[in-house]
Amino acid sequence: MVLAELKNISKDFGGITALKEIDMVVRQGGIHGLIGPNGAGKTTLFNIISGNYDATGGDLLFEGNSILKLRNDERVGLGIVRTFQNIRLFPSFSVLDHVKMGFHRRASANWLSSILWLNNTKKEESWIEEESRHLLKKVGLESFAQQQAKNLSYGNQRRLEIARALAAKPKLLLLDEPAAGLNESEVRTLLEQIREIHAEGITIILVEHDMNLVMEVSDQITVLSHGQKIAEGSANEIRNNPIVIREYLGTGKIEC
Amino acid sequence: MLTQQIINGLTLGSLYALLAVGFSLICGILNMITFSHGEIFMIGAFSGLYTIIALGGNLPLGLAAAVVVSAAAGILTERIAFRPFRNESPLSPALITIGLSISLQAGILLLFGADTKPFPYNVSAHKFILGNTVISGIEVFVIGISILLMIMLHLFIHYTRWGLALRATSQRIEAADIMGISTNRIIAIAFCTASLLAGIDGLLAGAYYSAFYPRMGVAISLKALAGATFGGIGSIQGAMAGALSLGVIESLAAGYISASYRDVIAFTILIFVLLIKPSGLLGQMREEKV
Amino acid sequence: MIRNRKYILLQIIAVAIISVPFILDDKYIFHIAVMSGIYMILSMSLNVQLGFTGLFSFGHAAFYGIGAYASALLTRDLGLPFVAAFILSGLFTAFIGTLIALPALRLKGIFLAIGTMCFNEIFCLLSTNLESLTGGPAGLPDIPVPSVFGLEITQPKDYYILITLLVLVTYKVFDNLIKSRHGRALTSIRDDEIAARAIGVNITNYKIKVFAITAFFAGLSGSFFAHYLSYISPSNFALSESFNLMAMIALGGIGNLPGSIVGAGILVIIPEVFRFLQDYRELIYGLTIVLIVLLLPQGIIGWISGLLHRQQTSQDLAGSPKKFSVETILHRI
Repeated sequence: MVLAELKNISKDFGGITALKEIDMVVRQGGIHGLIGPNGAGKTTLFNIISGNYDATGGDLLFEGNSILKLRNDERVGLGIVRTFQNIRLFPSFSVLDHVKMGFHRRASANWLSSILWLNNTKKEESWIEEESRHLLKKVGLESFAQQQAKNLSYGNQRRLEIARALAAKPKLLLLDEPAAGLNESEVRTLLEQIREIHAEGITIILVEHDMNLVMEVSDQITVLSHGQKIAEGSANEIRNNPIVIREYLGTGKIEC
Repeated sequence: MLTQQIINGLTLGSLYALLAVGFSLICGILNMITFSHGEIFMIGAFSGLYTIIALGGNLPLGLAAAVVVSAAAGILTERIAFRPFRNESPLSPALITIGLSISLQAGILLLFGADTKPFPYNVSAHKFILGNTVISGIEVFVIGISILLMIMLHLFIHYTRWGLALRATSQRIEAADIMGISTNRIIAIAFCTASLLAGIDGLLAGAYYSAFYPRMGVAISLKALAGATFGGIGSIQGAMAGALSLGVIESLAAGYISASYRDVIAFTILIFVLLIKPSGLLGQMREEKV
Repeated sequence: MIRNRKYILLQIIAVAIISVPFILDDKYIFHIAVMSGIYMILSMSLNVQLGFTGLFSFGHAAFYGIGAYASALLTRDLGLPFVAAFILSGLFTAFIGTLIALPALRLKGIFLAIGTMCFNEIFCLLSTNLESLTGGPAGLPDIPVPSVFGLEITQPKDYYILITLLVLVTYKVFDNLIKSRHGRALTSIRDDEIAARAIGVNITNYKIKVFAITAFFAGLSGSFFAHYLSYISPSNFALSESFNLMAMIALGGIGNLPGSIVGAGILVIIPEVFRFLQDYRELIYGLTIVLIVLLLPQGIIGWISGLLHRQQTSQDLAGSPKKFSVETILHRI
C-alpha cells in the first residue's frame, strides 16, 4: 500500500534547478532510503516532504490527499514528523519536556481550558506526563528525565530528538542523516532503534551519507544526482546498478 | 517653499545620518541594538561645548574633545554591555545600554544642571540667499561636515585593511574569527567609529539648535535608529540614505501636512517599510537555514 | 513532600507580605502597594511575551496606555460602569494587540524591537496630538472612581484589596498557561522556531494569541491605573515606561513568572525608599539596571535559589548561577 507519493516534484532556487520532476512512491511500513552525492537535492526533497520548503511544481500525496499546500506544522498533525541533520533540541527544555513537546498536536485542550486549568487540561497533562515517561523508558533515557537536554551526550541527543518525533505518533518518520556525527557503537544502537520503530509499523524515509546503514536497513532506495532521480530499487539492485556506480561512486563497486 | 523645506530636511537628515551610520555599524556587526547611542551623542556635545567655552571659541579643539570623549565612551560601552554577551541574546546588551543611558543622562544633569544651554556663538550670522530660499551658515556647515565624514567613512570601510576586516566580520562573525581577524578589536573599532561620529554630531546638533541639555540625544537617536532601519540596518549607504530621506520626509510633512504629526508620519512610514521589506530598503536579508 | 512543604512556606510568605500594608495601615504605604500591583501585572504579561515566548516587544507601555485611555473614555464620556469599562478596555487592548501581532509576525529580533518601539512612540504622539479625544499633553482628568457592583471604591485600602486580587488572578492565569502544553509551545518558539514548527506548533497562531492575552492584561492594569489616579497623561505610557518594565523582568529573571512580581515590587518600592537621594536617584536606578544584568543574569529569584541549592548540595553544579562577586564583574567585562 502506498503511504506517500511524489509526482513530478520540482524545485527552483532563484532560477537554479535543485530538483527536476521527481517521482517517488513511499510504501506503507517500509524504510525508504534517499541517497546521492552532495548537492544531489536529497535535503531539498526531504524539506519539501516535511513542509519546510514549498515545491515549485508537481504534487505530493499523503494517504491519497494532496498535502503540498499544508504548512510544516499541519503535516505533523497528519503524522509526518521529521528530525534534523544538525539536531535541533530546545536549549532550555529538560529531557522530559522534549518528549512532552512531541504530544503537542495529539492534545486538544484549548487556551481557555489551560488558563483555567479545567478538568480536560488536568487529565490531558497527566496523560502526557505518563506517556512521556513511558516513552523515555522505552528509548532508555528515563534516568536523564529531569536533565537539561544540552547536557546529554551527542548520541543521546540524537536519541532524544527521535523520541520527541515518536511522541508525535508519526505515520511517516523523516530521518535527516541520523548517523551524522555518531561513533561506531552509537550507529549500531541507532540501527536497532530504527528497526524497532519500523517494527511498530512506522514508515521511515532516511536521508543518509552512511552507505552501510542505508543499505542495511532500507527496503527501497532512491538515488538522486544533480536534482534528478537516477535509480530506484532494493539495496541489491542499487548496489549493482551501473548508472549508480558510474554517477555516484565514480568507479568501483559499493562496499558493504 | 519647497527648496527651503528640502534644505531644512537635508540638514536634519545629515544630523540623523551621523547617528544612523553608527547604529548600522553596531547592529550590522553584532546583530544587537544599543540604547545609549543618544547619550554618547549628548556627552560628545557637552564635552565639545565646554571645551569651546574654556578655550574661548576654538571650534576645531571642541570637535577634537567631542571625538575623544565620545570614542572613549563608545569603547567603554562595548566592554561593559556587549563583550560579555557576544553570541548571546541581544536582550542583555539592550538592558545594560538602557541602564547606561538613564545614568548618563542623570550624571550630566547632576554635573551641569537640567537647564538648556545655548551655543555661545551666533552661527547663523552668515546667510546665503538664493531667490526666496535662505541657507544659513550653520546649515552649510552641518551638511558639509556630514558629507565630509561620510566620504571618510566610506573610504575607511572600502579602502583600508580595517575596513575590509569590518565588512568581513559583519558578514559572518565566526568565519572572520577563523580567518584570523581579531573580532574583538574590529568590534571595538566599530564602536569607536560609531561613537566619534555621534560625538561630532552632538556638537553639530547642539550648535545648530543652540541647545545643549541632558536629554538632547533621546528623540534624535530614536529618529536616527528609525532612519537606519528605514534604509537598511547593516548597510552604511542604506543608513545614510534612510536618515537623509527621513529628514526630508519629516521636513516636508511639517511644511505641508502638520508640524505636530511629522513624527507620527515618520514612524508610520518606517513601520510600513519594515512590513514590506523587514531588512530595510537597501538591507540584505539574513536567511535562516533549515 | 518537600516540594509541598516549600509550597506552603511560600504561600505563608506571600500572605505575610500581602498583609503588611494592613498592619502599617498608612495611606502612602497603600499607594505604593497599589502601584506595585499595577506594575506586577504589567511585568508578568511582558515576561510571558518577552521572557517565555522570546518576542522582543519593547513597547509594552503602549498597551498599558491603550487600556487606560479606553477605560477613561468609556466611563467618562460614554458613562459606562467601571466593571464593564474595565473588561471592555482589556478586550479592546487585546484586539489592538492582535492587530499589532499581524505585522509583528514578519519581524524578528532587533527588528521587532525597533518596530514595537515605534508603535509605542506613535501611541504617545497620537495621545499627545489627538487633543479632542485624549486631552492632549495635559491628559484626561476626572476619570470616575470605580464602583464594583454598587460599592464605590474610594479608600486606598479598597484599591489595594482589588489590585491584590487582580495580581493573584493574573499570576494564576499565566502560571497555568505556562504549565500547560500551550506554555511549552510558547517556550519552544523562543528556543528554536524551526524545531517548534517541526513538532507541530503553529507559530503564527501562538504569536498572535500571546500578543492578545498579554495585551489584555496590560489593558486591564491600564484601566485600573486610570481609575485609581483618576487622571492620565501621555507621559505615563512613554517608551521609558516600557524600558522600566523590562528592567523589572530582568531583575526578577527573564522567563521567571514569580520573579516578575518580585522585580516589579522592588523597582517600585526602591525609588520611594531612596526619595531622599533626590537627583541621585535616576543615576542609581540606571546603574542598578546595569549591575542587575551583569551580576544576576538569572534574576534575583534565580540567584537566591542558586544560593539555596548550593547550601543544600554544597557542591557547584554545572549551569548554576555565577557567583556574586567583584571578580565576576571584572571577568564578565
